[in-house]
Amino acid sequence: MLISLRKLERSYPIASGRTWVLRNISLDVAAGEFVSVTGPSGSGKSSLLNVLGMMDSQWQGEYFLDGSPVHACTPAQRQRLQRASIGFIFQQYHLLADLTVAENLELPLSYRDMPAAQRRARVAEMLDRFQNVAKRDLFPSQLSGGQQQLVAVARALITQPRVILADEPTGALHSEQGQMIMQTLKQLNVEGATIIQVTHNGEYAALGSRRLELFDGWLQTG
Amino acid sequence: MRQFFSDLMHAARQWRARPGLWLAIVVTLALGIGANTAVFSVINGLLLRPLPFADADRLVMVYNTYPKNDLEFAGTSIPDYLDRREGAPSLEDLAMFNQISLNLTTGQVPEQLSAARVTPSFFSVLQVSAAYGRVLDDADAEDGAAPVAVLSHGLWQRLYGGDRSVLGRELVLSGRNYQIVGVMPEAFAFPDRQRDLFVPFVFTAAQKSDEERGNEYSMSIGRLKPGATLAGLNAEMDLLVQRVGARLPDYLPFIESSGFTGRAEHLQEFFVGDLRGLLGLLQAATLFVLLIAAANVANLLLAQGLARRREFSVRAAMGAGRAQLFRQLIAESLLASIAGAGLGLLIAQGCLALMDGQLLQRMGGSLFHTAIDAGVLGFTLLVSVLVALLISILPAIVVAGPSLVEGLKDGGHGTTSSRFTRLSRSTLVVVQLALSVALLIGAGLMLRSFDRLSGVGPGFDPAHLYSAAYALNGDQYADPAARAQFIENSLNGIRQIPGVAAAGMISGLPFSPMADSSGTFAIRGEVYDATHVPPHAFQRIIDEGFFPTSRVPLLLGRNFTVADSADASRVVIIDKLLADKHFAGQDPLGKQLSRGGGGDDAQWMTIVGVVGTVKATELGAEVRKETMYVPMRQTSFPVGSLLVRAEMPRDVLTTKIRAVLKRVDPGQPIFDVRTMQERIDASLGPQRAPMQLLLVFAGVALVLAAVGIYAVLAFLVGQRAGEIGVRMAIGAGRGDILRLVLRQSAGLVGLGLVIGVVAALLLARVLSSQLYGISAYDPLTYVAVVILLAVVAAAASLLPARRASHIDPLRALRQE
Ligand SMILES: Nc1ncnc2c1ncn2[C@@H]1O[C@H](COP(=O)(O)OP(=O)(O)OP(=O)(O)O)[C@@H](O)[C@H]1O
Ligand SMILES: [Mg+2]
Repeated sequence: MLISLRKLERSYPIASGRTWVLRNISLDVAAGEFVSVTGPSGSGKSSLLNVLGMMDSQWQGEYFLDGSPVHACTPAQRQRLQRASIGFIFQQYHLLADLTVAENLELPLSYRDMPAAQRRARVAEMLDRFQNVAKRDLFPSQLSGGQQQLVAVARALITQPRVILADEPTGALHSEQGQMIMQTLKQLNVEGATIIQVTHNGEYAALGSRRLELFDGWLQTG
Repeated sequence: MRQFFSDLMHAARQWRARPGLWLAIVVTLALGIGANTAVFSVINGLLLRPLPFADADRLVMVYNTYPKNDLEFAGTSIPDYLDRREGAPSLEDLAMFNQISLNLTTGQVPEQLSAARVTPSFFSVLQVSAAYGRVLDDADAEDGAAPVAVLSHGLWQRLYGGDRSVLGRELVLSGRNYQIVGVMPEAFAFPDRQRDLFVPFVFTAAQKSDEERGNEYSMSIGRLKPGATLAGLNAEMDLLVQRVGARLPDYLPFIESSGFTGRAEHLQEFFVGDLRGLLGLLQAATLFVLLIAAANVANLLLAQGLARRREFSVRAAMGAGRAQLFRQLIAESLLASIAGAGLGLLIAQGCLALMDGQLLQRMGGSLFHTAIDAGVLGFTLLVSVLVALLISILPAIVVAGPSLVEGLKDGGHGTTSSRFTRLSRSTLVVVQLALSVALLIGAGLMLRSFDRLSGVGPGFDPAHLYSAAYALNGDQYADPAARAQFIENSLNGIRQIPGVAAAGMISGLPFSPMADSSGTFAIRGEVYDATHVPPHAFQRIIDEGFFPTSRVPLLLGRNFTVADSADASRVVIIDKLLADKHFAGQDPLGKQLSRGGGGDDAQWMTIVGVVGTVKATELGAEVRKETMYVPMRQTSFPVGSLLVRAEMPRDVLTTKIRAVLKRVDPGQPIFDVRTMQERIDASLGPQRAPMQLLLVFAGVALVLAAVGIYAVLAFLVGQRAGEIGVRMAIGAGRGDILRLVLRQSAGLVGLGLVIGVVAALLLARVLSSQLYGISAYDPLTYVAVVILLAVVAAAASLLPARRASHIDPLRALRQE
């Protein structure tokens, strides 16, 4: 299994005790799967993705990533694991406004001790693959939403992560552009990428190989 | 106006909403304004405010000068005074005075009183009259008139407890009876506050003759006629000297070779004119501090302005015009800067307390007051209004800038105004740093120069070296042998005191008012005429104990001994400067000198020794005038100082010396017991106080610069929180974020440092004239300041950088 969660719990302290956002989650995801997570607003979808992406470490239970026990990792080990394994795609794209398309793509690599020549080669490769070569020197504000999200997908892929986590990647896009992004993700999955996406859209959820439903922090199986 | 008042009310409410921010703003402005007020009140007190005399701008010091002999200021002689009083039409009146010591023996311990011996015109020149009784009149100064005295208010209180019936009573001073005819007003303190009483300056017939020319132990003060000028008076004095030269052919060559003439200078200029450069420099330094403070405040207001865009957008939507919005901002700034000025006045008061004592430890000091008067208040008000305008400009552009709607739309995030704010804040920090660098380099150079100045050896060893003044002016000391006997007995007694290592005497003590007694001398074998005139030297009378006690090194030959007595052959010791100037390449020992011009009646003295050159008046200036020493048994002078080398507290030593003197002569006081180090320090006083202030200002600038860097980085980090969250989400570690912020800070700091150093290099030329023994381009100072600021900037950056690296990416992204 690429990902195994066992009895994972997440809660926040509130005035009158604690509020639970993830409850007793056990889950296995194999390499090459395309998982769609759905559920009502506030059901814990983003929370789950944040735990998987190791943006959050305040949870109880067990989390194995490709055999490594994340629950037993020191913060430094966890960061190393995150750098090596995770690619994030956000609803709001979160491209850095002051950097060009090419620079945005190069950014994750610059945090991974890669020689400059190799970095440039990877960026060129990515620009090529997403047919973005002509736009390499544009700034995000000069792109449409769909184009920006495409760059964000490329940025998530550029480190060759084992898992791509996408939290409502089409949430801010028109349906046409949403379609394009979903097609891209599907294509990546076909090429072998493991993808876990959060979506509200049933049609997009159906593109995945498996569907998970969260309800008030509980994982509904079936 | 009513509108503006309501703006002020609203501004006050802003304060209540964010007390911390406004407190920071007020304190910062107070530092900047306070520094300016302090320095301005010194400038005002010394240079701008008229002296406390009627029509003080017409008062002038009149003095002899010998520019070709390197003698700028030489006091005045009685014949010169008489010539000018009669023959200078520009003068309404002229007076002459000097300072003498009189012994008062009525009390337990004989006491030394400081008297001013003045011509009766002294009072009419200054236009002062007595508080009780009368001042001196012409009859009092007639040769043979009965001695009279006018008491200072202080002495009158001290001796008689303010009893008005003293008028007409007699006071015995140095063995003579003086009738008290008047008491001066309390405020009167000229030439200084130490004068206990005023006695008439009586001229004898001999003193009025041409023989007396060149005896310049007095000072002269005059009053110009309304409309008369210094240039006019100077020209008249030139003419008077020419007339004397025409009448006295023997004197003419000396007049021409020395460039001798009379000069006049406004009283105020004479006393404090030399401080003008230093004070100007200080004012410039405080201006820097103010600009730095203003930059800091503008910075805080900018951040604040961005946050308040919404408020202002709403105001605009309700119909407020740009002018009204701007007025609102001005009202807020004005309130802050007036409050800052109020606090600044307190700070200034503190600075003045620090400065007053030291700055005014000089002649004429009692005439000056560095108080905060109406002029200073006006200056402070003006400065605070200008500052208020200055700090309102940038926030005004942000708040009332081109597109107010933007503010309504998105609360000012990622908009042009936030970009403008970021750019202005970064620029402000660079400017602030550059100013700090320039100021710190200037202060550093001044400090090092001052350090050099104080570190320069005076040519003797001032540590544990005490001096005590005496004045042997009673009738029993008319005979030189009696004086020599008194000194010898006193010194022998003092040497017996346990703990005293050595003792000696000198007539003109270095770093005391007696230090500049000088005169012409002749070298035997030289023929002097109009083209080759006799040289000029400091002349000192010493005993054989002076050199060993003061540790002035003997370079050649021998010291004086008791055998150099009145009936032995006459001898002289010269300093190295005299040897170098006049006996270059020769052996000076055995050569002969005489005092005066070397005529037929010259008394030749043989050079028996050469000693090191001694600084006598100013530590920071090259010694340019040579010195000759003659033994006390062969030449005599009633006034001098005992020097004692001893490691013991002043009070203990003073008591023991007094006990010795009581045995030698119960009626003879000593006074002004101080270590030589204290005298040297006092001579540095006028420089030390501004130096300490400069140091304080530099410190303030440094703190403000650090605060500025901190505030801007904290602001930038806050603005970039979302971006930082994204970076962390795609793999940036804490170290990466730390580096990111520090790199940004390093960019700003580096730019500020470079601009500051360039500015300092450009300003260095201005500073040059104020520096001693150090180049205005001294690399060590530049490097040290750059390192210091870099370290401080790094420290100030660390906190925001650490905070950035601890941002929770989840929260940051949610807020993005
Ligand atoms: N920092 C926090 N403190 C307290 N409660 C929180 C915090 N962050 C999230 N929650 C709560 O956790 C629950 C799950 O939130 P989460 O963002 O995972 O929901 P979601 O399923 O992604 O919803 P949506 O579809 O609206 O994005 C919500 O009830 C939310 O209020
Ligand atoms: Mg969500």
